[in-house]
Amino acid sequence: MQLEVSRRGFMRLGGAALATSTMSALGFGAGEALAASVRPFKLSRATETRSTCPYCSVSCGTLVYSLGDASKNARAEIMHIEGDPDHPVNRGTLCPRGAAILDFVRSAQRLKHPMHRAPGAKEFKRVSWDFALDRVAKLMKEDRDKNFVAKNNDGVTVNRWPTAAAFTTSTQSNEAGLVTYKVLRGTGIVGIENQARI
Amino acid sequence: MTVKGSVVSDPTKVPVAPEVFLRLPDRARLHARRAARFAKLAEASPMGDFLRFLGQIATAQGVALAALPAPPSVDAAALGRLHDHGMPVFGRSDHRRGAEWQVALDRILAGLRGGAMPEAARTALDEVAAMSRPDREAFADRVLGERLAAHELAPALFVGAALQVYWIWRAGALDASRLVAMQPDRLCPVCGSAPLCSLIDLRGLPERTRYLHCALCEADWRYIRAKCADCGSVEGLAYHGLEGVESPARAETCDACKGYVKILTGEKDAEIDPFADDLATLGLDLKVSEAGWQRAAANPFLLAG
Repeated sequence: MQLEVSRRGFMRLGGAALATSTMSALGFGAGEALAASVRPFKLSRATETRSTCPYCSVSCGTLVYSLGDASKNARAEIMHIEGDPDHPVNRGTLCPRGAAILDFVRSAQRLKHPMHRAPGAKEFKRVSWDFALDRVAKLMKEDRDKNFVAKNNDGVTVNRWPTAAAFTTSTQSNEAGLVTYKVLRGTGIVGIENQARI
Repeated sequence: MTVKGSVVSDPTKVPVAPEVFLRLPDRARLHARRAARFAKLAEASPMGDFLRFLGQIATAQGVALAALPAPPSVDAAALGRLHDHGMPVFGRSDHRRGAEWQVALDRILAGLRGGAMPEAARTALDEVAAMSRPDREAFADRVLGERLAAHELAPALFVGAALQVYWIWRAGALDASRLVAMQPDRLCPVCGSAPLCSLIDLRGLPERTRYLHCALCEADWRYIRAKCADCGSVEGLAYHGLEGVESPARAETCDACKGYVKILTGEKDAEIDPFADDLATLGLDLKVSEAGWQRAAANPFLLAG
């Protein structure tokens, strides 16, 4: 007898495939009822994305859950963030701040534009990036000119700018960390907090 | 960092949470739990009768497993050689089965015989019972290779159930902490099988670790989250469920290989069982298949196609 032998899996499992399945072969004819039971439902879609907690330079790994189909122009929304159990640094754990990171993402007070409160003013007002960068550069220059320490008391060249410090980010790559150091140390800033510190 | 009142000044000495790479099934309780899970899930399922029948099989498997003697020990040197060559310990295609699997098969058949089942199932049961031992061996090879003719699907269920018992029994002699990942790491370190599904359950270490579950020997081995359990891609993955339905099952679909493997999350429901919950959420498979992804993992209790 010629047998029709094929690699059986669970591979092409659609409603039709259930007609030739272990279930039907044993005399359980439930395939149609099953197909009917799910017909009214739509599929929901979520994603899990690896990310890094932005709070401190420990840089704990996180998994970010988003709901919605971004590929179909629907708005994806972050639903949940948890520690990444596969990340060697935190092994799935997060500190209380990191565990509350979802509220940080969704915060109504989240800063979206440069804001400026002029000396003596009570309110912040929105300003352009050009204004903000010019203002920061000008103030930094003034402060550096006033406080830069080229040599210490023993006459040794140190080139320090002790009155400024920089807090950057923990979610940067090694290369970005290197550039951060090059730029900031070039100005004389010693107090630098970012991932490259560790 | 302070540990139990003493200060640890050397950061390399700070104790870290344990990590578990591989878990072997709890042989004493696995099948009773599964039977209970099948019974519970059958209540709300359109395929309830089939699930109840699989519950009977699980019970019979448990009896057959408990009746086997202690498994032969595994030589540490042999284990080392296998690992050196990236081989599973009891490979599903190359392990020389002992006669115990046929003893288990006879016990499973005897255990089922008194229960209720459709006529076609009883015919298949009798067919397996009447097979000669060499025929059973040849049939077992085809079951393990998933190379079956359409009319062999029904008897394959019983043979597959016995092979499962055999592999669980044989793996019982292993020290789970000594097993290492295969290449590719989606294959079972014990028997080299592809995974049935993946699990995030309450026993994971670290917490929320994902394990792949072996369809044959029922070992769980660690597999990083958000990585395709079929092709290993870490891009183009999405998690699909039925909209508005509370379910432990999601389909981890991969746009790189167009395949998917189900992922079961057992945080709310500690009783989830990889086989029972996989089959009880078959409706999700139908919808995901319709949407164009192919199921990558075979369930030996429901072969199709």
